Amino acid sequence: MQKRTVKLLAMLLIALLPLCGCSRSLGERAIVKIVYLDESNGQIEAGLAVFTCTPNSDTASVEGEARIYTAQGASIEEALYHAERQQNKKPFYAQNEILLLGPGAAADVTPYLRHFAAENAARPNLAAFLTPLTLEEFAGCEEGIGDIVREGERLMSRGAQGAALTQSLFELELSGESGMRGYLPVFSFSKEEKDFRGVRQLALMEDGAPYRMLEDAPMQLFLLLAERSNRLTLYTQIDGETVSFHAQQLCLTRVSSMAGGVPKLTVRLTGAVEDITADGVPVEAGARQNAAGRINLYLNELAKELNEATFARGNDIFHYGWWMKQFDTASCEALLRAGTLYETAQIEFISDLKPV
Amino acid sequence: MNEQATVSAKQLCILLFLSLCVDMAVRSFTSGGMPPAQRAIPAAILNAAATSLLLIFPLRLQRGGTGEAWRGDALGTKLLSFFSALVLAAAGAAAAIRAEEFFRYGCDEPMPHLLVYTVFLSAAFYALRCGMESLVRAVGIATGIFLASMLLMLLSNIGGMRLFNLAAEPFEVRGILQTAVHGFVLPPELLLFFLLRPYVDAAEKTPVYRTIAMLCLFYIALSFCAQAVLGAWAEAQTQTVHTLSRLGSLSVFRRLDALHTAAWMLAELCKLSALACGVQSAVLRILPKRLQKYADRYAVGMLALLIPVCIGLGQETLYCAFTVATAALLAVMTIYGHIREGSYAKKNG
Repeated sequence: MQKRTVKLLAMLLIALLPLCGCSRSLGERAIVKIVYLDESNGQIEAGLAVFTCTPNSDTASVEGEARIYTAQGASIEEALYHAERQQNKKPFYAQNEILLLGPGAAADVTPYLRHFAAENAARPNLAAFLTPLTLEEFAGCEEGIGDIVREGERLMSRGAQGAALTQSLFELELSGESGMRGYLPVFSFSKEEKDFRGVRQLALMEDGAPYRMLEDAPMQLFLLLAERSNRLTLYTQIDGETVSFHAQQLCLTRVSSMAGGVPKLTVRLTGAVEDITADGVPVEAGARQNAAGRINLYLNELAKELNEATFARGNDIFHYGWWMKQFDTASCEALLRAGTLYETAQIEFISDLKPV
Repeated sequence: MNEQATVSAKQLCILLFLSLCVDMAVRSFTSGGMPPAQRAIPAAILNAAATSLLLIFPLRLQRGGTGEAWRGDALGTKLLSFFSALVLAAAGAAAAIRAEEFFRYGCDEPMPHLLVYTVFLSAAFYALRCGMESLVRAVGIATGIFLASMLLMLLSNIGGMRLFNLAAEPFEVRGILQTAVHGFVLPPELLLFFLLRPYVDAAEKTPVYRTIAMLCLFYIALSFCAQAVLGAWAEAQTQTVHTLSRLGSLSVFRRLDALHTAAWMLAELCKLSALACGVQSAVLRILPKRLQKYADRYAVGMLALLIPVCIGLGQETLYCAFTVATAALLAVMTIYGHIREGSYAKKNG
């Protein structure tokens, strides 16, 4: 009987093989690693960074010849179709994890993102970026495209600063009638050196269009509040001085309450701040407490500005509304339906970093 | 029909478990997205309790046999066996259709429908030829592989879970009840359990309630994981669990969905084979002795004939019909069995 069991299992496994083996090998497919979309003069422009892969056990490998194919069309589907037809291999999108949206598409990114967000249209972890590159500039990056893809894929895991700098499709807020809300990272690029420079800016999005760019200190605090990072390494101006410091293993706690029908949320940042310098000079031990106090005040002000740029506009990127609902779900839900939650709720940010 | 006990109660319950939990991974394309965990979890508990309550009397008949001749085999009449065979064959056809649709959905280069169904039915036929005992053992191994796949998927998605993705809605009993009613199904696999019960020793207890509880826990874990990772996206996706499998990554292994799909398709093949085995068992009771050796062919033939019929009916209608048919058959079986038990008890004083 055991022999028959083994034979049966073997037969069932063999039955699975013809279901997956009778197709072209990966080496015969055009592996798409980046999709670029833009809009110009009423036409959709598409660019595909395609690798013709030599068969390799590492399916994430980008070895092999890289080419960029571009085309235009009246719709996204048409533009992509024409771009695919520039070469004679069947495209393979299962390894595509980067979507770049050019300056024309940035006017309203919603239709582009919704196209890829449809079920099974793309990998759910497809990362969307804005980019200042035009289609011609993107096509001119053919030589270094392999490095760009590698850098882009490295961003999928934690970046150099330990921050998650990408926004995957499934994390985007696309269900609203007015268009995409939230934020998108900007794929920074040096046009002169044709070199990828990482994600140095974040674009806050409303109705599918960017309304504010964040970089440096505001960007780092933004990532911390959005739980995409747990550290801060800032080099900024505080009270006329150039201050730099490093803080890691930071902790955010949120306490919600209700006072007179008004939801209130207190966000407290705790942790240790170290390597504090002022105008390039390390702060002495006796002055560190004072320096930490100034840093805390600075962060409080910065968080207030971020709150005004996000939650107060109804762009609840930091999920403050969710935390408030934990205290009083019914009241917050009622305020949300009435459209007054973002106006009436009070958010207080308290930075309580201590020097090491 | 072989009256000797050939499988254990635990094996039979594992077969039931795999047949039902694979439907949570490979979801029907008409079922819509997963409801928010806040509603789905209490609804699942309610449905599990309701199903357990409905099974009290049929299960009591299985246990409470009053003598040797009565072994809880309430599906002994030809009419009941015929309808059971029909419902199980339709369930097998529906399982084959769902597996083929899922395979086409996840595959970049799908194969022709006819070829896929031929492979499925050939595997089921071979399983019938091997015998129920071998099938039940193979199902045990396939269950282990399936659960390992689920555990791997859970672990690979832990990093992506966010508290704020869990929907925070006001607690509404009405919403939970609506979700429970919408999601309530009496699966034909329950009939399979009763059909194959005579192959288990009469004195052995079958942990059916524990199996239903495990299924409920499994669904709760999936629902929580899906919501915590995907948030509102979970409600928009039909194949929510497949989406989870595409997201999860473990160390350098970033694309594990092909591995998961293989484990789930193996589970689907086992489920199809189990349902075919149930059809064969029911058909054996109907066929005259000289034709009983062809029962496996009749079983696979019924499956093959019902595939185009079920495609034509559509999944929504089918699952509704399954619930009604299973409920009706269980009710008739219980009443019939109760009458048989009563008359047997009277006969033996």
